[in-house]
Amino acid sequence: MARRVSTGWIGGALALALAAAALAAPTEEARALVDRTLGDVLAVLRDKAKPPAERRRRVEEIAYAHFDFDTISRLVLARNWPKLSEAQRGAFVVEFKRHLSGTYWKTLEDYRDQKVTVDGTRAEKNGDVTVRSRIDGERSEPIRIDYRLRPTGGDLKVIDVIIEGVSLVQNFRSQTQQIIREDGIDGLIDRLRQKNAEHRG
Amino acid sequence: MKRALPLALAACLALGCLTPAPGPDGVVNPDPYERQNRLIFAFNDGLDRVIIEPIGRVWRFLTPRLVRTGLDNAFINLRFPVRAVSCLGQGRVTHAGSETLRFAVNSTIGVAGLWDASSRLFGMPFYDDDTGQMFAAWGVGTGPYWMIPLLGPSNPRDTVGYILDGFLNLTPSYAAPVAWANGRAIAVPTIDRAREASLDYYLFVRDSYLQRRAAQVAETGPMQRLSPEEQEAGPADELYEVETFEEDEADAGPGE
Repeated sequence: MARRVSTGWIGGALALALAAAALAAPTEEARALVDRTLGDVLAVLRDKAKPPAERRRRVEEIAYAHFDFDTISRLVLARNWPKLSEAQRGAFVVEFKRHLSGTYWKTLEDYRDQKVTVDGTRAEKNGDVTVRSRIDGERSEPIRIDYRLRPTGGDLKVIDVIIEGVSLVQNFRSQTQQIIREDGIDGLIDRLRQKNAEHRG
Repeated sequence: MKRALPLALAACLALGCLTPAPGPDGVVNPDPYERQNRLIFAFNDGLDRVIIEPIGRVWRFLTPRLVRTGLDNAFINLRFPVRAVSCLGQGRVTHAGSETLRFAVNSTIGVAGLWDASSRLFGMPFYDDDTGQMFAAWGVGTGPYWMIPLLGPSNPRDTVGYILDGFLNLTPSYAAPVAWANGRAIAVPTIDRAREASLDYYLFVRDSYLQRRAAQVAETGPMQRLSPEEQEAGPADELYEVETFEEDEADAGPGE
């Protein structure tokens, strides 16, 4: 009996140590990743030699590599996700990805000439890592942008962007829930398509 | 001001009655007056597109960035009693003192507040509290979300707070239009992006307001000046649970 207790204790301590190690590593990794990626994106945006369409394509490539749009879509649709057919899920992810990268690109263009600094990380209870950044721009107070990353298949992928305390996932969840209630899932996908057509125009 | 304070306190007590009751599913509807709010929002948005936004754009075109930032700094500086009183009301005496010192520094070294000397020179923190946040710290509920003509999204608690903020703000009334135009000019890219990014602009603004306000209340202070360990956590972890949906999926099966 005593032996069982002690092995249990050692096992628990080991598991804890492992968990702590697993937690400690991703925060640094996440910080480095966000820092590097923001640097890459800003370098593209500031490269005036490239035409805007080319810059946009490059930024989209970078975003597609580091954002997990499948998880973002699932989190946004939340309890509605299971109600979607396979085809609807595919269509939603494609259109939502296009929509997000379109608006993300434009937002970054606005801040092209401002100072972006990665200045903190936070290990979340569920194993995610939040990387905090600030943009020093027109107002004397910086704009806070946090990136929430999740370890996914050996990589860290962005699953949410929180601007001044406003989570993109939460915001789109509120919007899509009501739109689905009123116009149905196809209505929501149509609206996304319409938005994307406007972006491109 | 003398009459406003007891009035506001009475209003605060009354707000408790306005706080919406949970619906049959146990979830509180944050926006019980959505139909009316949407009408007011459409009016505000229309007015913005026709008059206020063009003024902001012209202002943005005419002024260099440095001027806009300077004016913004000056108007923020003139709001110092709002911050000081709110900090004081929450028992954060040193923060109130810090804001008063900031005002003294920025008004002198910072040339009438145009330059944020206390941040740039002395790295002083900025405690951006307002009366609504102070009420929140006292445990006053928000009441239902509502849209105010001309002013935008709010709720009963923050509306009372806003009125008191007006009394505490040192900005002379003749300068208020400049503050508006300058503020709108600075917000041009933010509002452009919001209109593009939103699937439903009304819902986008509502959710952004609710999240932002909740975050400010949770911070009760300058989040950006604290070390990561001291900072309030971000959105609740439940927001990021994907597994539960997969279980639902297994029960319900795909398709409509």
